[in-house]
Amino acid sequence: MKHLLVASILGCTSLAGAAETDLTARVTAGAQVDSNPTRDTLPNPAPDIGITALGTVGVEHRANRLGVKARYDLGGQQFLFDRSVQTLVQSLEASVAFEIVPALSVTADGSAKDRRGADHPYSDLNGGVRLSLDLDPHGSVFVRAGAERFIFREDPPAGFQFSFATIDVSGGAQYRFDRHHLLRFQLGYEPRRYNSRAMSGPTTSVPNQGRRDSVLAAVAAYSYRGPFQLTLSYGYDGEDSNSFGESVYRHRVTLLLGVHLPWSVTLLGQANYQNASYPGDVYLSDQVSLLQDDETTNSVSAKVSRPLSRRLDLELRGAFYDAALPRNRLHYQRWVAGAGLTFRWP
Amino acid sequence: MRFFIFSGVLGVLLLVAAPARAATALDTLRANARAGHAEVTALRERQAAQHAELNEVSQTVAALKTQRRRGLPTGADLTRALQRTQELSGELGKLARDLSDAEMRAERADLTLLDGLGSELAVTQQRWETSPSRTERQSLLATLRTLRAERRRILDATGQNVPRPEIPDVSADASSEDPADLLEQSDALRDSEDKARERLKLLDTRIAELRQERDLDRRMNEFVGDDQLFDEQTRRLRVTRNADGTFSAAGSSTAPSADVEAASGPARASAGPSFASGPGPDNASPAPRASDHPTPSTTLLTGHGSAGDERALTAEREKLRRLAEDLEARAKAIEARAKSLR
Repeated sequence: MKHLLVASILGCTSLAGAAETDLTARVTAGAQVDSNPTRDTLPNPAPDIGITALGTVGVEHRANRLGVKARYDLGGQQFLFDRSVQTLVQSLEASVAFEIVPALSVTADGSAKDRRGADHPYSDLNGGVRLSLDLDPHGSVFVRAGAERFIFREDPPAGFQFSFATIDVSGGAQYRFDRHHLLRFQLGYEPRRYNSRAMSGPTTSVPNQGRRDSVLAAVAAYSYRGPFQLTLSYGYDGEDSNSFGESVYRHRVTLLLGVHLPWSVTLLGQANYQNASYPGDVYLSDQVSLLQDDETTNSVSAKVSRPLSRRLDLELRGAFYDAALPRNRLHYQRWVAGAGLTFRWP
Repeated sequence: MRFFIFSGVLGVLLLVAAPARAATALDTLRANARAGHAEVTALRERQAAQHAELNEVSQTVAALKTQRRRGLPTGADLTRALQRTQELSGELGKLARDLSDAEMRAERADLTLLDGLGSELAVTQQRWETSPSRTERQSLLATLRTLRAERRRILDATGQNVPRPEIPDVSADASSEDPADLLEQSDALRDSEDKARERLKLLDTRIAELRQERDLDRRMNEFVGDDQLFDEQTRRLRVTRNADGTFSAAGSSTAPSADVEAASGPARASAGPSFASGPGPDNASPAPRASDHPTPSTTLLTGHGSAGDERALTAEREKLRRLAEDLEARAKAIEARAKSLR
């Protein structure tokens, strides 16, 4: 089967005409001080020193009408004092794009991510087909249909109830005013089916049925690209659940900035502000004794890098994460500061 | 029949009158540009004169004030001088506005003239290429030079950059036996070569810019992608069930107590990564990432992305380089032939 796939791709490539292939690789290693390595809402978490390593290989193949892209990441993190906090994560993404007629192209994509350790193991599988249409040299639209399977592996078998499967449909448009300015809009919908039963609330009852969530996500973004790069985006993420206390609506504003400074220094920064609301009460299942909630936080992070040679960079990184939970008098905070080296090929 | 005769005569007249009309139109544009610059010059001269007068009156005011401080009478001179200072200030303010407007009009007239010169150059070039008469070609070449010089002068004066100087396709007639004619042809080829090299420089600058943008792109993608790979943006809230059936956050001093928490409680029993790490609408990372699904319509296939732009520009650069070398070789060959015929 594998041989058939490779042969098909190569066959298409040779039909498509002159081809180009780019191979890239990157290895990053560094150490960082983490004020909250377990990422808990503890009042006084014990800081720790973490060693992080990450390797990435990528391939991109282009022909006249065909584009193939794949990337594999393997990363690990180990803390020195609390040896139980360790993470191993790997991710594979691939896509094949084909231009059907000028301005109309189809892309098949797939991704798999597996994370182990640090009380948060999961596997995520995703695949889909996307149709893109260039309306003119400035504007384009796309629609995509796909499917996803998310498996949460913590505390089995109870943790399995947070796993879900879904199809997802999305669409979007972008308009490039000129080579500097770009506007983008995307809308997506997922009807998720969880591996758990829907819970009844104190005043509402749900017939014996599985948990079903409808997830609607939208993002609008403006990007500037020139001597510096800037992206400002607003995202909405609404999850309506038939299970009591599982609905949530999030608004998120993100700012990304990248700029080349004097002395070959590059500054990259990211800031996020999030406002989440829970329309229903939050129900804690009595089926499990350990629950986890993962969601994004307000954050500011920055990285400064300077090349030591053509392929080797010295990097300094800092980040601050914050989430206040006033109704529960809980406050999550975490800051990270570290340094590392990155080797890139070619 | 009469209609055909009339049409024929009209056609001939139009044919004969076409260059004359073009010249007249260009002359009108030249006249407009000259008038615009004359107005600017006049206003500047007036502005300079009033500035000079203002300086003079200010000195007088200063002298009269010194005189008054010493107890000497100044009469109505000081009042008059002060009034004149105010008048001059007002007039200078109005002059500055008028000057700015006039400069804008002059610039517009220059741009219109540049357009006109470009069209005239194209027409003359076309006539030069198709003319069978050597005398006429010499005359047209002289016109071409004059027009180019005029255009260059205006470009220099206005500081206009030429983003894409046209490179005329000069088809030299190397079979000519006249050294003067050959040298004219070689000159035209050299002119085209200069334009090709000018365009090459612009392309080199743009390619360097694109490479910088790509480098920044790649670093941004890595920065955001690494964060997402390690789920750096996420937090965890461990909630443990107490012996009395209530729940509390692990290690927390507080005890959110009861099966039913108030709204905005954090313990949502959902561990899914939502769109943060999924390939759907990406609310965590609106920036294009290396891990994003490729969009062939915008990056891989039609070259709207920077990689495609760079490839297209590099290809164009290579084509131009070859053209410049070819023009140079042809000019050299014609020069050598002209030399041997002398």
